[in-house]
Amino acid sequence: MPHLTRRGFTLVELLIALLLMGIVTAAFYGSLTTNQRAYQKQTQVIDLQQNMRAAAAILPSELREVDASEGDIRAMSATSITFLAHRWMGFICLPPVMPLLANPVTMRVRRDPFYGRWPINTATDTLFVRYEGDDASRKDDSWAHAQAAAPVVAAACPDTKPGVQITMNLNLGALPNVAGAITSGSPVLGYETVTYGLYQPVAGGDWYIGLTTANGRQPLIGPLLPNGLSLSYYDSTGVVTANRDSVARVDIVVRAMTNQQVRSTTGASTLARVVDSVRTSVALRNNRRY
Amino acid sequence: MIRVLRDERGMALAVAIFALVVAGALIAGAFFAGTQEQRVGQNSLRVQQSFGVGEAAINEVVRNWNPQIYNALPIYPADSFVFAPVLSGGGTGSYTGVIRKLNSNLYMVDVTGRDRASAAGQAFGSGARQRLGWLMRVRLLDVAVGASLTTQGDVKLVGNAYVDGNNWIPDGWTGSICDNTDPGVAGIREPDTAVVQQSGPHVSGYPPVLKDPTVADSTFTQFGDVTYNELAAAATIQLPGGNYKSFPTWSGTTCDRTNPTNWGDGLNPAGVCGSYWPIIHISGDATMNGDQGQGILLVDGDLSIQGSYQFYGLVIIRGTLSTAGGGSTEAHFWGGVMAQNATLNLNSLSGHATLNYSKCAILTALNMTGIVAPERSRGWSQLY
Repeated sequence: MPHLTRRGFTLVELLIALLLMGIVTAAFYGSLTTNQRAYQKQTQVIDLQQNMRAAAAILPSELREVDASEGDIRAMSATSITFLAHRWMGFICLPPVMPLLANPVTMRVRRDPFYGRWPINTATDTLFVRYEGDDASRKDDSWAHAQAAAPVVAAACPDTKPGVQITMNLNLGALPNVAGAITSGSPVLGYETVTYGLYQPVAGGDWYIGLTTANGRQPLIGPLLPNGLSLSYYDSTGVVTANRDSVARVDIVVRAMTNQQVRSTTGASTLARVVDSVRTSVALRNNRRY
Repeated sequence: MIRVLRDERGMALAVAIFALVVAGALIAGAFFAGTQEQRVGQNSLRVQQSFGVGEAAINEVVRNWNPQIYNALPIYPADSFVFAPVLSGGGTGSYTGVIRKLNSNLYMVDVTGRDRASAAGQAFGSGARQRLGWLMRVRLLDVAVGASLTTQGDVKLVGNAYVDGNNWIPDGWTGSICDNTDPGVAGIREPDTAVVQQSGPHVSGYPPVLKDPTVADSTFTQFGDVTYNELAAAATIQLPGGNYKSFPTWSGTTCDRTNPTNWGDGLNPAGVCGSYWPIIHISGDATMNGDQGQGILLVDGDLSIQGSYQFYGLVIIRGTLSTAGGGSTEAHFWGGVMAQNATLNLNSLSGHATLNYSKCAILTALNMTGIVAPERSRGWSQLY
């Protein structure tokens, strides 16, 4: 067909085609946008839920092992708690010589079994050594406080099994200083002082639950609302208490929000952060029983 | 050259495919994130369930504590008791674990709990598990021994009979609780009754005879929150009244614990039956004609010891204690004897009868027969 005789599209055809294409494109774009927003919201909500899950897992697992009755809680408020967090447990294979004559003293601890964090951090760890006292009574069983006085060194147990030697300053406090009061096989517990509290890493920025140790503070869970962490303390009768030694239960409420603003519903014009909360009750397992 | 547009094609298909790919990627991404979230959520749930299974398991182990098995364990690092997977109550999951004896009275229960789906291999990946530990201390019977012989009735000592409140360690007995340096206790503790000693002194201790008005019926029937009847009901060996001769029996390296007259081997603490410490309950009058035993002996009626007999541990007699003969053996009892003598008959000790107080024997008997309770504080831990 000669070139000049070929017929093009009419204007009407072109307009109709453009209109149809516009409708299809708009629908496609709308669908993509909705999809993208839903995806974004979903990932934000997932992050939020992960945060709350972390809060519901980390804080209770730390607090469960606290012995408030023997002073593990060092400070507490509605938004922060400082306590001794259990980090490791070993078992004595060669006890310190008792009665205690002078510090420092040495003891040997088995390498197996040894539960928890290794190596022992002699700079920061607080030790509790089980005190048997009178074999004939459970009522004088207790824990003697100790602090490492020198780096831990490898040393075999008397039965030649692997062990470590801990040189420490042992503080018996009011416990009778008698022969045989600390026996072979007794557990030794290692603790680290930690603080979990609500804080703002950047002024005017988001709030987080921060974990403070001897190494400093780092954000652990967040972002949270300004009232994102509420701690309530109860004694063994279920009454709110302000006495650190009487705490038997801690209620934790975490109010978290998404990192970014998202549309609350599909098609909504306003953007906002999604907020959710979780409440956990933790019974302290290690308070003195009798 | 004039180009003839014969193969004119639109871009609809390409656009449609592109759109489908983009939409598909977004949807797949959303599904992936959703699936991951669902899995993480489910795993969190399983962790919580496993934790619950673990906590319930530890309590179950303590509730079903069998002193004859667990208390007889050698001290770590010798063998520990490993239990095979056990279904937890209500079918909520299962648990495994190990019981380690740390010293004479302290145990570590190390339990790993798994929720039902994880235990059955139905969970995604390897599922969840939670490992918990609890230090257990033997819950000693709260017995006010306080003397080599505690009684409510009169006591008559003749011949070579001797009641000694000094703290004795039986021959061949070792261990931290036998290293104690306690001087001892009273020889005889009684409220205000007569102690007749014929032909010289027959009692020593701190003091030899202690007049203690607090000695009452309850001294022999109530031990803290445990009664005599409860203790008797929990006895390892139940026997009617009668004449008995008890001695250790074993096959190879296995102590025969089914034999009701095998009461352990106090004479050979390192022997096959040296770690067997039964609670023996005799529901009537009993006469012992040899040879030996150890543990806690409960006699509802009178106990008569004829000839040489040795018992290591704690003896509680609701009636009267009488001894005769004794042969060449030095002692009848190592530990503590509590004879209620409720009928106020004479506790008559004659022949070569010796009652030697031994804190080591009493504590070992209590440690080896006692159930456990959680450590007073700091006993619970989450293990990793």
